[in-house]
Amino acid sequence: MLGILKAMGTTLAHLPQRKITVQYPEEREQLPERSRGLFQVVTDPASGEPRCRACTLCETNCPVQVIRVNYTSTHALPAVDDARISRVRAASQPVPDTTLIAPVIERFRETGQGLMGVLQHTQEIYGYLPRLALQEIAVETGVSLSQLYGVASFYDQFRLNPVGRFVVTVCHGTACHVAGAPLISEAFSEELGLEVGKTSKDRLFTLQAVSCVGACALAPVVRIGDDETHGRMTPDKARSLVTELRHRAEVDR
Amino acid sequence: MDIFLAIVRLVVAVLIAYGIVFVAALVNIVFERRALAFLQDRLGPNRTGWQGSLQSVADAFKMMGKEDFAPSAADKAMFTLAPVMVMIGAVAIQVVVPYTRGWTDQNLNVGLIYIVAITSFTVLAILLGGWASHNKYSLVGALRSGAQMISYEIPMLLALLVVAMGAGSLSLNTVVTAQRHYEWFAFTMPFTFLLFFIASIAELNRGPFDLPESESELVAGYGTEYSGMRFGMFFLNEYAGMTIMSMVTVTLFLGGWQGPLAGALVIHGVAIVPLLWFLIKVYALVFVLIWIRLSVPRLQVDQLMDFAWKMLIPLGLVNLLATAAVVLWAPHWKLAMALYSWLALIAFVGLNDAVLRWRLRRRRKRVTVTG
Repeated sequence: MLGILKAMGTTLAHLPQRKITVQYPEEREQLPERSRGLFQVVTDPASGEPRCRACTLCETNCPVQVIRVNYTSTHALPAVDDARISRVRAASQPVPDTTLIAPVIERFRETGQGLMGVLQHTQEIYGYLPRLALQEIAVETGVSLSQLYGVASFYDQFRLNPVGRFVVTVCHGTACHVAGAPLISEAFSEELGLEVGKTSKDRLFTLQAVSCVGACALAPVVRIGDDETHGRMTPDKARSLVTELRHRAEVDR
Repeated sequence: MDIFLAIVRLVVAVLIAYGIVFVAALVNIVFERRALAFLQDRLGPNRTGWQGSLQSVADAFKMMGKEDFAPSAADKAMFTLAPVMVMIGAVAIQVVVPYTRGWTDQNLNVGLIYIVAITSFTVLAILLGGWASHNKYSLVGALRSGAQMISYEIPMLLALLVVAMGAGSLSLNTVVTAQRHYEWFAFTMPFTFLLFFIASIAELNRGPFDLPESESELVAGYGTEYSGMRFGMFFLNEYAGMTIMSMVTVTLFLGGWQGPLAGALVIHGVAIVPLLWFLIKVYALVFVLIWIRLSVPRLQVDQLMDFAWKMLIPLGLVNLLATAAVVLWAPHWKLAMALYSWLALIAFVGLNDAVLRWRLRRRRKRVTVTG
């Protein structure tokens, strides 16, 4: 009973004490000098120009995506192929006809969602995601280029480089690997003169390796494009397949 | 005509009683949250309305807007009836409480017995709610609650009998008038007051006796399956109970509406200033309830039963007999009763810790021998 009275005394002593709650929007705590609480573009005191170069790295890396870089220079618009990689990539790509994706973007505008769909349709049209088409999408939809690039590079289904007419996909799943998929890949790259993941100069072949196409009963499996599947491959069959494909291309021409 | 008037009077009285229950509950919720916050160096809710005064109104509307959900296995009729019934106790008690001089809804000559009888309704409603939910957690919570409330009704009754002896009547109006000239029963029989107060906290299911809804043990006690306004009724009753029980305590022990300037402002035979004293006393007591809830940790279920049956009931019986003897035989019985009660209080407060410690030591010794 005395203990209870003592406890009650302790609690009552806290009644008139200063409250530790800080009523946030009205009151603010004095933050330490090096606190990184608020983002701000630092201005160069000498020139008066912002020190930010609009590299959008912060935008790409921000884990909670609160940063949006919306840079307009007073002097000149930043060059579209600012970064070296994108310049090289753009140079290696044919100039795409950006009017083709106008209806796709229009559909996005109507609903305001379905960025993945836009990218998928774009890829359907060009066979890959051309740099200039991505820029067009970014300009038209207001989604930043870095975010588009982030999405496109995250998913395996999106390709940032043009592919050849025949996409040769060698399955490297467990079953195919055991059945000799590495040998098949080797035969293909010898015959085509290509490394895995590359496209030939004449844009006829693209050689790629994937983890599994889900046809282990036919191991090792090779797919040509999206609708041709060849099972129980051997290096010899691979070579004759290449010859056949070349022949097909001749006939078409 | 008389019957008509009587009916109007009855309806008005019930409406006022319901109004008091709802308003008291809403006020108490804000009051408790703010008071707890202040006692914990916080600020508590202070955004809705002036200093957060409309917080519980907003909460009540939120509660009403929620889905009225009932589990498919529940006994629908009983499940619906329980939250309605739980209010009966809080409302019906007010019939006999003298709010102020000249304002008692019904001056029953068995008011004290009526109070004891009517408080059991809450137990019934809680048991009903827990049983109708068809859920073992609800049932266990309800049974705990029922066991607790029935156990603590006995020391409460024993304390009430002492009050009846002191006042010489079972009518609450007589009890209040018997406490005039500041001869409040809290002063003349403090030990009885303490016993009653402890029992009343347990009756209210409040900390440190809030086992029926101990979150860490029973999900949410008897209210597990209740949501929306049905849960709200239990919740409101719980908080209204603080005010209602404080009203009873004030009436019985703290002089009711008595205070200075009692006759300063009288409208139609209803004195206004004493109403103010009554409210001040009631809310001082409500604050004490909140204060105790914050300061004292919850008991275990065995400790709870132990405390009722091994401490409060024997002490209440002894207190009853001793007071009866004093009232019967002592000259100047009021003085003698006060002397006895103060001594008993000091002895209880001083010795309680030592006795508890001694019992604990003895139990530990027994455990080590057998184990």
